Amino acid sequence: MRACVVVMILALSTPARAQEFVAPTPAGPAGVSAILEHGLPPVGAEARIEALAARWHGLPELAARSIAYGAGWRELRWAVGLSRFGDGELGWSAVAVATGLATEAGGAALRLCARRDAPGNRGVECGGGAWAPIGRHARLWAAVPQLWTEGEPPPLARWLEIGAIAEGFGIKAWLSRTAVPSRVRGVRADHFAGIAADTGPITTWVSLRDRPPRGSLGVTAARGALRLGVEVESHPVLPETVRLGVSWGSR
Amino acid sequence: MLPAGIRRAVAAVWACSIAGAPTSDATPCAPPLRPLIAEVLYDAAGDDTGLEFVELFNPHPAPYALAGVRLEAGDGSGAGRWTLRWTGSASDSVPAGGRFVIGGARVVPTPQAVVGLDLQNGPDAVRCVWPDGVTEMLGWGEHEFGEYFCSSPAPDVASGQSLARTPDDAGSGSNLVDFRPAVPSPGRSNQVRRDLAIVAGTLMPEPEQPPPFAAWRLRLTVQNAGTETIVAGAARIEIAALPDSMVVAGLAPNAALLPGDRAEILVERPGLDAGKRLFAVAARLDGDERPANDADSIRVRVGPGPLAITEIQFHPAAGEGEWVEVLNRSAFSHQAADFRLSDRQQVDGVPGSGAAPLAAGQYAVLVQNRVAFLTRYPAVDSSRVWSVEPWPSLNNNDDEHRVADVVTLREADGTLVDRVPYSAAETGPGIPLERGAGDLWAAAPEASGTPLGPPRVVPAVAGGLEVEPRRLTAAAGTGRIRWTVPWPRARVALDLYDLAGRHRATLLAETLVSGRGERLLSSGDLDAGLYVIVLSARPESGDGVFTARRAVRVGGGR
Repeated sequence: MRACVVVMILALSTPARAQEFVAPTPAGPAGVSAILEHGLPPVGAEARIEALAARWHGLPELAARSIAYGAGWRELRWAVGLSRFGDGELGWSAVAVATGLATEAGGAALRLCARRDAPGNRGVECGGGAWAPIGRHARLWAAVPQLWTEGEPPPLARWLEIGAIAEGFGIKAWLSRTAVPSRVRGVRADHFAGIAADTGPITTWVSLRDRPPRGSLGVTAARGALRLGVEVESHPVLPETVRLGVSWGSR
Repeated sequence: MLPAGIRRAVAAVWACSIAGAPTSDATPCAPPLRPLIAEVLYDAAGDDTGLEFVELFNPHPAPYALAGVRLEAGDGSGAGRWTLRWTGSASDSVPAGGRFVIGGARVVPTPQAVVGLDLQNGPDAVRCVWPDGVTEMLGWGEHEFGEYFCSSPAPDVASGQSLARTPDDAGSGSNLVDFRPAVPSPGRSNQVRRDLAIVAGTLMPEPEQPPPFAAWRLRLTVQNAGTETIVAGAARIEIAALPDSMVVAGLAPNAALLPGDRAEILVERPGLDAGKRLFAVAARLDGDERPANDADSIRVRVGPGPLAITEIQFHPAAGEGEWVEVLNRSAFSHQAADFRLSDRQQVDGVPGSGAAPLAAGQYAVLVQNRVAFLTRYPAVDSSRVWSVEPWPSLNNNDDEHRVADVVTLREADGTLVDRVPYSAAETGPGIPLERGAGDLWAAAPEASGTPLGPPRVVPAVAGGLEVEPRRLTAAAGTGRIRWTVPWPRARVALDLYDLAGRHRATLLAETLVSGRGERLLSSGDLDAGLYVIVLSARPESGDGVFTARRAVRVGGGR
């Protein structure tokens, strides 16, 4: 039972917006994308392949397509992904790998992502994350996905993310804080909160962000090993960001 | 009830606080039964030499001899600094009810005693020392030493104004109360019984530069400067078009004017064809005792002037000095020396007289430093670069009305040619402001400006917003954001969001600009990353919103 709780918690535990491997799941990427984007390994060792598509802020030049595969053996977790983001002039191709360890007492992983854009600029970023349970129904996480970068800077700078999630009676609620890149490090932060409800194979969720205030609404549906998801994120100025995902797992 | 001592102390503190500190109770004011200091001009407009005067007034029914009377000037910067300016001779006297003027050779009418007074602009003083030792004192400005004024000093008046005892025999015992700023009137009473005056500087057209064939107005203010009430209908204001002096309008203040009252007069005028006109205004009042302040005149420019101000560099960043570009929009050539350039401080700069004439349709640049300008822009036609002396330094910071300064071009006779108030917030550091379509001013598309050339025309942009290049790097660190909105003029704002949707910068706060415009984007102002630029526009008036978005990448590579 406790293992199930841990698996569910980790599925919801990476709220900060990532770049290439953002899955339409409550509070951000789950499973394979969680370890690829944030360095947070899933407790479960299931093998799953995910195909993702997104259109950021309604702009065709900011469309992304990705495919990722993750698996585990005993405590070892690993994942690999390929992505194409944006149009020819602004876009880039990315490959990401991640590996780590996970037990019921906690988990940690390292991630690495390499990019190559249209003019041929190359960039690499490396980071990691870790999580730990607090009691039976809550969990804390921290991630620094860009601990080290080299070459062309990443399209979205991401600093320290910390968060917590609690679950009970089929309801999950989360809150996280993400340092905002600025010329003066650490003086600003984004906040993100949400709530999700599981009703059998259907999971629905709503979430809110600040700077500027905005929200998202999503739903996933599972049948056997197949899982489908869609999420729409609103913005007071920019058009909606839409994410679609389909995944197939070993169970 | 407070003890008497405390009440006296409180009263003393109160008296000091309302009179202003310091005060001088011991310094003598106007002594009784003698002529009085009635008027002092210590700061004539322009060069003071020969224009300063001190007027004595004898309010008594018998003449008063001035033999042995000494007029001394006091330097308020130190104690005891009195110097003799004039001593009365046996032949000097003030007639009963009359005046005696001691002043320079350029004072009109000629003073009874011609002497160079060399008075200072304050805090300073003059005093009359009578042969029996009795003294009368008049001090002005913020004094540190009590010996230079009587009770409280008079105000330090503006250049060109005198300090006049008002009324002429006022004797309250305080310089502050007895003396007021006035139009100099040597040898004449300071306040007459009947006087309707046109207040200097109030005569102006509305709008300042009326368009051709459009109704306009002349605005002026009159004041009852006499001691008698002017009853309604007793006065008349006449407007005459010069040079034929034909009276084109007349009207009367519609209410009685008590002494000191002012009335604002608006004279509606029909439209005129383009050109410049001279209008004379006269205040008519039966029995007016001071005709000198009854008339004024103004040159009115109808329609555009021969030159247009087209570009303003008020914050040069490359050592070229400030400059202002003008365009000859008339059909004739014009000489540089025919124009004056000024700022809000009304400093009149005169372009060099040796410059070549400016042909119709040509541009010229009025520059602060010709050598520095030509060093910065070596390819321009130097014959159309006009050095201006003195240069009216242009401000770089906006006031509370979002105006940094006002660039004004006039003809040598004072007729307005063009006038441009500008905001320093409209442009980035070092980038000039340029007049665009619809007479809207905005940052020049070229960072260095286009002196002696027309503004670069911003091409129409498909989709409303374009960023070029879309990828900025350290090597190509400046891009152009161009927009086209569905209105000729619009309130446009540009904001920058990162990929996560966070607002990262305001590139252009909402500003009224041309419907087709351009803005520079520097990669140095942003962290590396992928951004979305959002254009928001709404029409100058009425409803409607236009938005457009484009992505841009700021990177560190090629």
